[in-house]
Amino acid sequence: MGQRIRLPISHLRRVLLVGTALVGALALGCTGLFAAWLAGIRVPIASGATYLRVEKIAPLAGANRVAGGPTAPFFILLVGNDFRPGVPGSRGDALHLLGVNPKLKQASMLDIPRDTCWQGDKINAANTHGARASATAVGGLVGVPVSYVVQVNFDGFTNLVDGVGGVDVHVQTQMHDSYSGAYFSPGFQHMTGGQALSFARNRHDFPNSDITRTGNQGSLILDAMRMLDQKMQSADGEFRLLALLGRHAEVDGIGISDLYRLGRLAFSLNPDQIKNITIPITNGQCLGLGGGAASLFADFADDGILESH
Amino acid sequence: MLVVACGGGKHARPAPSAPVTQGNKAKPAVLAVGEVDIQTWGPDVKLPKGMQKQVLGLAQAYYDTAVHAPLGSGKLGAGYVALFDLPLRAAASGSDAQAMTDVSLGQVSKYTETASKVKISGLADDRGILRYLATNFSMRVDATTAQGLVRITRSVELTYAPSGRTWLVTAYRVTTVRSTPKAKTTTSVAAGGGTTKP
Repeated sequence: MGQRIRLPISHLRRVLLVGTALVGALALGCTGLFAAWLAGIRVPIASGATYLRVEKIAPLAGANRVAGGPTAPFFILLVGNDFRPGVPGSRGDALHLLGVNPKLKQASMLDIPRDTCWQGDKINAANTHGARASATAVGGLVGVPVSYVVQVNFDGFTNLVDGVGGVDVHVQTQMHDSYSGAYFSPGFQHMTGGQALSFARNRHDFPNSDITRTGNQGSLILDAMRMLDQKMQSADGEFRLLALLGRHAEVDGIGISDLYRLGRLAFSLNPDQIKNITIPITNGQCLGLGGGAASLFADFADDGILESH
Repeated sequence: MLVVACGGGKHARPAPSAPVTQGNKAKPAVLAVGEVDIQTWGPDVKLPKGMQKQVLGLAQAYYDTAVHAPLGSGKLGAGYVALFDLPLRAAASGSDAQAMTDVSLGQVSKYTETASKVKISGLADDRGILRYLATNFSMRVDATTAQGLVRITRSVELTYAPSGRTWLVTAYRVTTVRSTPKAKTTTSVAAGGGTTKP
């Protein structure tokens, strides 16, 4: 028969006090972290709120590149990746190459279908090796040096669009796709992050699948730029957007001043004047370049803008 | 004064103002701070009093040299160009001067100046260091010129970046409306931060 141990009252009181203090501290800590998360403050242990990654691609040592001045054309690769937790690497399923000419205050954008062939493989696979590999592949295909890569995944995209209050998107054709969840009528539609993601992912509504989808993604980017352009017409708006970026972006090789300058530059461009063209490709599993690609790339590469297309 | 950090604050226009000055020998209107809104990449940041005073002084210097001095003398005040960082100086005193200053008005015989309170915005980095500050205010001048009465309303946004121990204007957006009994002209200019808006 077991012997019952009787603890003295003072010991019980001590145990109770310590227990209460621990629970209190835990509750306080969780509340603090939650409050910080709500305020958008990056707290490593509780963050999970990184919406996008902005990376400056420094030229490789010995690369044959001419250093450009502040008014030299430069190229930004925008990547929508298919990152999923627990799955290593992420393919670049949405690839858009933006050429910016600060001197001319103009820009153009090439939309690159994800199945475009590059060195025997689909070009979207390069992104599984990182931003630099993606920049090398797309830059190599088009023949331009890529200076910045901006990556966003599904969750990040959704949160970003919601974070700026949604986006007005011009829908070209009826969409009724259960795979992506895109159900839209033609015309301008105000979309939440989730809806914009469905719009950007829809390919089953189109006979040429990813080709039209890629073009739609390009249109979505320009629609978003139009909307942000209205919000960025004051220093106040610029600072708010940059703070949002700063709180929810991983930046590599680029600082707040660079982002400020890039932002000012981006929003000095008129989105209505940005030409947006999907590169010509041929049919097949791995899509080759179609006729006219060489002249399109040459037009784009010389000064970052499309003049004869 | 309202101090808001990290996403707070109203997106308000500068509050209507108080400072008024008259006459062609009068002292310039004295600008006063209104709302303060600091955005940040990291921890909450408050604008130190000294820095607030410094940036208000720069806005005042712009006002004095670009608006008040030309009304009295027909010329820019001393130190106007030095308010801007190097890449902006040519535009601020050249192509954008029509909107930025009242030099084109010439010396006027009688005038009244009114200015709103100054809204100060800021952006701090992830260490809480203020990297950009901006002042936003509006002003109105009613003047009697050789050609008759003219009303000038101007909204001014100056963005500053640190330069050594001081701050210089690194970007601006200014819209100026000049109205006479017969005509009204609007001029908008924006420059800096890496680009000049066309």
